[in-house]
Amino acid sequence: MNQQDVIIGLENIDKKFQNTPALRGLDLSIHRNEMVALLGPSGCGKTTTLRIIGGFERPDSGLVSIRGKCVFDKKRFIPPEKRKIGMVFQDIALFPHLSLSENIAFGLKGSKSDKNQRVGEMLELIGLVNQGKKLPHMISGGQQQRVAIARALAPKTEILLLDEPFSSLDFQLRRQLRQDIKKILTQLDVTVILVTHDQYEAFSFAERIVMMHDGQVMQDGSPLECYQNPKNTWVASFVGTANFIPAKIYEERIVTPIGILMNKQRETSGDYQIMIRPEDISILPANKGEEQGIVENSMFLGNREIFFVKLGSGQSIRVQVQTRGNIRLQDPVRLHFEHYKLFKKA
Amino acid sequence: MNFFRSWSGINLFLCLLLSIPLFTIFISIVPPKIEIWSYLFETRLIELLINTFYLTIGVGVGSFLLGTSLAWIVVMYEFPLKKVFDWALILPMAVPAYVIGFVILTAFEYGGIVPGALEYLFGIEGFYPDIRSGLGVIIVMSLVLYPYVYLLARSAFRDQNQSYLDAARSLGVTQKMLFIRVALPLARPSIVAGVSLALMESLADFGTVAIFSFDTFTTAIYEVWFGMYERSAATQLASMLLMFNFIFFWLEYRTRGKAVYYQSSGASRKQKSFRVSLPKKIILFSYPAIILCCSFVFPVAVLIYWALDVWDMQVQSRFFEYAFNSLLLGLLSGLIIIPIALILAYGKRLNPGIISFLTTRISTLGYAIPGSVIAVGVLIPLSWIDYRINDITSYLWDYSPGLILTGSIAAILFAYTVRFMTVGFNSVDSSLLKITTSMDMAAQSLGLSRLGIMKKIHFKLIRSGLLTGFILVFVDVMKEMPATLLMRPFGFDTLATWIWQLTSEAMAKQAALPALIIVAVGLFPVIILIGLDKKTSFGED
Repeated sequence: MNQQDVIIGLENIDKKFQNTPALRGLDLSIHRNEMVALLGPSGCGKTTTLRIIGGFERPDSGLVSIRGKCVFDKKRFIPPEKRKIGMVFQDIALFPHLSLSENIAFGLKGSKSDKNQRVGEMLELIGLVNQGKKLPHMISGGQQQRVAIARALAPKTEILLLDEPFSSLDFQLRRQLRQDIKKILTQLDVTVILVTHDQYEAFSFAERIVMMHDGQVMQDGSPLECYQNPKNTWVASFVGTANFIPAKIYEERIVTPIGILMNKQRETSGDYQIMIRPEDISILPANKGEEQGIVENSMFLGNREIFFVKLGSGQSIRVQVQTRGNIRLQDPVRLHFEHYKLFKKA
Repeated sequence: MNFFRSWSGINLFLCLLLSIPLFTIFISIVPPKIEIWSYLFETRLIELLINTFYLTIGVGVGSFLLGTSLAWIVVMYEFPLKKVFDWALILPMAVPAYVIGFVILTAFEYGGIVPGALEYLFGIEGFYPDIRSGLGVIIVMSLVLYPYVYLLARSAFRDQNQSYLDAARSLGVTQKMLFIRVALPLARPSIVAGVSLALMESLADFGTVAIFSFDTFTTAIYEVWFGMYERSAATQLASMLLMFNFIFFWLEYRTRGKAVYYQSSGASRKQKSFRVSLPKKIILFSYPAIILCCSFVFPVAVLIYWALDVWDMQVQSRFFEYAFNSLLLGLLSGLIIIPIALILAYGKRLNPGIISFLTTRISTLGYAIPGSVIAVGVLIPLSWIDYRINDITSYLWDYSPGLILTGSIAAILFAYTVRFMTVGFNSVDSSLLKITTSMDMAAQSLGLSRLGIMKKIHFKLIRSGLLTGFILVFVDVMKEMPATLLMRPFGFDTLATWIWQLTSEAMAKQAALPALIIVAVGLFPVIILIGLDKKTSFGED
């Protein structure tokens, strides 16, 4: 990707709300037709970032450009209605007094027949043909959100901002709608930014994840990268579950409470934390006296089992394995692992 | 247990009793009395219809413009004293329209405060606008009745999800057009409901139109009843007024239900105010300030000035007697209405279903019926009973006791009970609704009898609701004018009827003290309202 492809650019954005910083020197570029998820806990600044792109918040300082044109700097502020960016909201926000067709036509300009044609196209796109006369409260939440997306896309919008669009729906519906909408959006030439606090939503929807925390970008990469190769302990623990075990490196060896490993990456000697995903650990029954830990709690999840193993050091480790049923509470066990990630202690 | 079953019987009985006036008016229309209608048509019906039409359109437009614009400004913009205006703009509700009416009328008259001040301050002489006109009535009523629209429009704007506005802007709507394209259509049900309430009040008003010599149905009923003793003509006029009022009653009821769809669902973003420049801020500050001055500050200030001016004469006059009468009627009405409201609301709770729904609904129609209509509807059956009593006594003992019921305090109290049952019932019922059935079940499972639940749980929880209802009834009775004028016993006056007497004799200054008392008392429910309002609107902060 070269610089030409950048459709949205944020440079060194600062934003405070009543003296609490929401964004601190944020830099972010989004490329044409990318599907990006801004992922982070509530208060991390992801929604503020989205609203700054949309023009609903003014940054305190920095520079925002859209389609190569500056829309915000010290002198300039282009209001949202001039930015030609579609937005879909958590609370759906279909106008309750307008029919579905009227909602979709809300942002359209031009002759009546042009409008009708475009509304027809959009209704077809979202699979609600012949339902245009209904009022929003007459259709389901999932259908409402699809109409909201149609409304945002109707004026031939190239950029679509989705602010937690699925979180007002129940779990089953959410998964279904996510797939539907992803399918719709990948057909179109549209750049999508999704804001969410739900990592599974982000992983299944986007090809690029921007992890945010305390108003800064923690990691920016593919879902797999973020999961397998987190840049820091915060990312590691926010994405999936992680065990952190203290480790020491002496020259060529990594010494941990559950075994000694070779220092293949040639890390410098010192105190470390070793991060291991629960599914990367295997668990074996052990004879008394040879155990590394004792099973103190377990959860049965059908095809999987989760064990909490108390180590000799007192620390509890989470282990997730395929269900075999050969290990019970209070059993002495040994643990084995291969994938891991080292973080140097500050 | 049987006692609780028979409760719906009690409700039905109360419902029948309370619907006597309405029923009387209804049956008087059928069969239509051709000669009376043609007589009315020839004399004044056309004028009355035109005036009513004019008043409805005028007050409708006036209260809509004032209420909606003030609500929008207060919700959406930042300007000095915004938080104060937010509640202060409700204050005109405490002032009966007829009080503002006579204050403004007197203040603009020859030798009044306004022309005097203009001459003294600016040297403008001979400024005497024709206030005593239809336009004058409309302005005065709009100034007093806009809070109905303001309250409902404001909560509609406030509850409007910020996302609606953001969505509209992302679709190309400018900040200035948001009001027209999004906010106003969304608030429409609430605004229609508010305007309907204001129009119901304006149709029921007697005092203001009487002072301004602007004939409407209420004044015509009064004149026909007293001036011509044409009871059936008055009844027909009352039926017509009732019909108009029910149109707005129905409109209000219908749109209220609709407003539910227009509220946002789920989590919503807090409303963000628009930032504006300093000159605009000054304009935004001046507008509500001027409205509040005209509708509350100026009239109250003038009343205080006048009351002090004629203080000695007041004390000598019969002020205390009339104040006592008002107080007595208010207290007695509260003591009658609140227990009945409690019985109705409790019956509805014990036996929910279509019958209790209908009985409570019909029993509480009174607020939709103008006082003059109720008065006529009460007087007709009562005078019928009086005549029968006289027939019987003169036949048996050759003695006529005269009119016992008509023109008695009991008759007035009955009319008040019908008219203000709604107020009492709503506050009792809403406090009773907060007690969930699972609370009852929890108490029952812990061994409390039904009577015990009533005593130990329900009564304790609804006490404040009962008190609120009592205060609201008391204040409404204090302000009530047309029914009292039509029904009071000879030589009996309340503060409200006294104000009417004094103003019709051009003694406005003397009317200032009783008017001030009514305004002061009227402030209580408005303060309660403001308190409730703050709880709901600032609860999240």
